[in-house]
Amino acid sequence: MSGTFAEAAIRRNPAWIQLLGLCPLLAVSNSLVNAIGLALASGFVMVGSALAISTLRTWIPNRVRLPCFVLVIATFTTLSVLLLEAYAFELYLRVALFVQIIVSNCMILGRMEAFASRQPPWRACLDALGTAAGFAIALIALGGVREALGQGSLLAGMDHLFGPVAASWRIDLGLGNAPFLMALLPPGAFIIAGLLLGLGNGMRNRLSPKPSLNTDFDEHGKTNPDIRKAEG
Amino acid sequence: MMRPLLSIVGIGLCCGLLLAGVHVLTEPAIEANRSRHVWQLAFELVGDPFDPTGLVWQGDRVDLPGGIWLKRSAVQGYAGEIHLLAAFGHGGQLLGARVSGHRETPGLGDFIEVDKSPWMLRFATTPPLEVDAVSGATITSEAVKRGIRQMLSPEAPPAAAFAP
Repeated sequence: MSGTFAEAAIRRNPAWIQLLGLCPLLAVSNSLVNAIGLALASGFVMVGSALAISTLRTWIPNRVRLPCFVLVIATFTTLSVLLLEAYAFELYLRVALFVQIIVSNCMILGRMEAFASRQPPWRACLDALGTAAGFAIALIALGGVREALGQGSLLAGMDHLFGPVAASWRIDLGLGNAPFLMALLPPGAFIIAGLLLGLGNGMRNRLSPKPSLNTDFDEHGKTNPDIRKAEG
Repeated sequence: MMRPLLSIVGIGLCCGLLLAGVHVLTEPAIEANRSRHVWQLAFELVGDPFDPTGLVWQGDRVDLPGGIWLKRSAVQGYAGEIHLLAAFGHGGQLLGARVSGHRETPGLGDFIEVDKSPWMLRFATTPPLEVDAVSGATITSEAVKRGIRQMLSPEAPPAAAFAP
């Protein structure tokens, strides 16, 4: 049971291993608060769609499954936008544009096609939670590094997410106002994401002798259909 | 042949009902948030907070105490409408303008938010036609300029839309 979760979150981390969902990942991760906001919204869409699609899986004909998945994912994305605008308006003003493009996040469509449409709801839910957690780990790691380098702070503006209590959570790292401005800009996102990816791959190679980029193949050299389906 | 059609229509109906339900539930909160946001922008424009209770919009205009009035309008931007709010002082002089809602491209067209760029502040001191457009987001810039021009002189015929 926890295997499904860990598999989805760590071994097949959507961002670092499968390299999916990079557009919102790079676009929003310029501060921790934005990263956490998008992670929560993506998680909501992910889990909601997985539960719905897995419950409906016997009624979805194979030929029209993709339109059905897109319909369900679009519904949950719109729901998350409505809920954000109603109950977290400050955050909505900052991340709404990116939350709307969750609908085209291939990470979500990939998991629906490869997993949720073939598994019972509880497993689909665990997989969705795992994938969402994996995406959140990547977002928060990137958001933390970029905010620290670009703004010299951590957890700034958390009151937009958790109410006025969180206004004092900001940690000043004593690096000045903008120690490395490029970290906040799109090129910085690519460079830091690449460095973090390399760091992750290096650490995994240390821990297990298996080459990290060959997770597509099992020990007999056959392509693992589950991963192949998730590409795209 | 009919079964795929039936199931996609069925799923579409369920999704539509769910959305309609949540929309009805969240609408009051969303409306309250939006109007609070507009008043906050108005406080910024006017300079000092006033009490918005009792003030009602008459069409696109609301008169504030002290001879100041606010105007709102919507123009077609690059990706949907851009909602503008402007404050006018004595003699119809433009005090400043803000964008209260938009769907322009993140990172490229969102310089029209004051939090992201001081671009909107120029309208307080410069006639709209003399404000420089931002390269890479010409349609967004021109839309905002057009909207502000129309608010300044509603009688004038609308400026021609930007043609590349």
